[in-house]
Amino acid sequence: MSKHIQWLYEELPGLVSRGVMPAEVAERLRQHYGAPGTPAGAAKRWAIILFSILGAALIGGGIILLLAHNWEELSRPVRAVISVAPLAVAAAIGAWLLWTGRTSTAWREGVGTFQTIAIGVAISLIAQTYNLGGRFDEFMLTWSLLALPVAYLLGATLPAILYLVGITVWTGAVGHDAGQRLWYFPLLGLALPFLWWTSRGNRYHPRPVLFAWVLAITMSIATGIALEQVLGRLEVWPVFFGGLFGLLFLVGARWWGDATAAWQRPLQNVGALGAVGLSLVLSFGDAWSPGRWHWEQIQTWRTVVELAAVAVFPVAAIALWVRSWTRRAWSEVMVGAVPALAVVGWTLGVQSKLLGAGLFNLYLFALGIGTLVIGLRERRLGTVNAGMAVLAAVILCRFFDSDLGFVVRGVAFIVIGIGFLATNLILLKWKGAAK
Amino acid sequence: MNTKILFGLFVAVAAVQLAVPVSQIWKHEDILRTGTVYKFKTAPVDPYDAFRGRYVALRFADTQAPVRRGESLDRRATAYVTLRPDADGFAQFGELTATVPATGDYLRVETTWGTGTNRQFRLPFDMFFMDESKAPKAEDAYRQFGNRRGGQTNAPTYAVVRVKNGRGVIEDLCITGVPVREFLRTAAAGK
Repeated sequence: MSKHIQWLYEELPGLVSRGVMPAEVAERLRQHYGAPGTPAGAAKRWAIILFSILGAALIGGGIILLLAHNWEELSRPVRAVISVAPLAVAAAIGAWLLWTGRTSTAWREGVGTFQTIAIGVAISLIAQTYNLGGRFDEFMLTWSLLALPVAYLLGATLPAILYLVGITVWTGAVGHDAGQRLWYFPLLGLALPFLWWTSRGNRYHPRPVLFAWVLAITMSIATGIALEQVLGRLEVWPVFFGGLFGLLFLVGARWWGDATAAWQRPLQNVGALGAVGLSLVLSFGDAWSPGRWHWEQIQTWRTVVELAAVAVFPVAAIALWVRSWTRRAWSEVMVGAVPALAVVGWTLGVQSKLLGAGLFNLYLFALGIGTLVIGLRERRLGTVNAGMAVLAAVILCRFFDSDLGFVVRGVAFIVIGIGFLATNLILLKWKGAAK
Repeated sequence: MNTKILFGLFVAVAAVQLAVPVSQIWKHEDILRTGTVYKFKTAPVDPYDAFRGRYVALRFADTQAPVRRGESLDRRATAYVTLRPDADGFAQFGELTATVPATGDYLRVETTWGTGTNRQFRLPFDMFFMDESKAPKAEDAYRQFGNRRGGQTNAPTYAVVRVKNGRGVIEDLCITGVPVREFLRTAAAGK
């Protein structure tokens, strides 16, 4: 839960006693924010959401399996009625919920999940009854598009999550036509207001957090597939993925920066993991292919649109990164540097493999040591371990990197090792001085 | 948002959600009731679909036709193939065109590949769904009695398909000229 709310709760009694606000306003504030400081409150909220989704999903899944058995004794009209019956029931319950103004999370999540599954049941069973072939990607897209409004109208999470997964599957399966895959972006745009809408009251609530996890993971997969052609053909993938992971991380740091637990930081976690992974890949000389970019390759309007879509991510990320500098948020600055470095590296890598790879080796060492130092200074074991992990990864990569000669590697390892021992001595001295 | 507006929107969305399956039922019932009957020679095997259950995957013999003169068709393009029945009711493919034929029965297909003026295509139906216990048996029966490559049997395996306005709906699958479910019943009784 947010540190700010915790702070607010600590301030409330003082504010009331000093007459800054009347007691009922303080009470109303407490009601509005719920009981955030207590882990028990958050756990209960998670339990309610997960149990309603699980319950409804199990019932729906059971119905799907029962119907998939294919009861031959049933006539076609009976099967037609059975196909749409669960959906009609779900719609009736949903309408009743809205009519009676029931806002409980358990009801909405449960009914929303059930209705989502009922849509899938109806489409599948009709396909079974009439022996319709149909492709899996078309099925997923129809299902996802029909389910998404339920997310908004009932405020249910599962339809929104299914939608994200559905459009990702569709993008992967839509086939050879690369132009069609670009539709992923407008489709994604339909789901983004859900994040904004559910995080208005409390952005650390399980509902937006769960959605953001799925969003970050599916985006990392689907955007790459949607732009696959231009990323590969024009070799701009380092710039794109650097921008994507950097943007995820910085957006998370900017709007979800006060999270107290790791699971409340979906965008930061996925973004940071992606950024480090990408940097490791780019620290190999073979990742760079000089001479692949030619301005003459931009010939069609589609290429222009694709390149514009690619550029949006690093541009937005670098804009946020500049903000991190002005706020002096150094851990953000370090991880968020990947988009800018990818642009610089790509400009260098177009000329020479060594320059591109060298830049990312330097960056990874700086990132590892910087994270380590911040962790030590703030006495946070998790951060120390993250710094160690980055260093260990880059060291392992270089140890097995056959592009470099044994002598070069040997000397470099010894020099870096001496550097570590020296740093350690300096740190110990500092610590001694502090005592 | 106002409860009434929200309620109205929800009812509208639910109506669309229900309209999609209901219109599918309507359309396919209409084809099954009023479409023309054709037989398509097949080669079934039995895979599995988590959502729709067990089915017999159908491959059709000789799915190619000449492209209408003066037209050209790309790969993976939507095309229309004209149909006429032979003396035994089996479907014979006429020609492939890019536009809807003015007269006679036809099917909307997707072209795959081809050489010269001939093009291969994929028929819009390739799955026959069955009871989960029967689909594997149907496959066994096919292996025993099905159309072997190059060989001619007197009682072939075929799908009975109703065709109307370019769409086809499989009505039944026949093994040695007998509907597959009846065939399996007889086989079980004979054991």
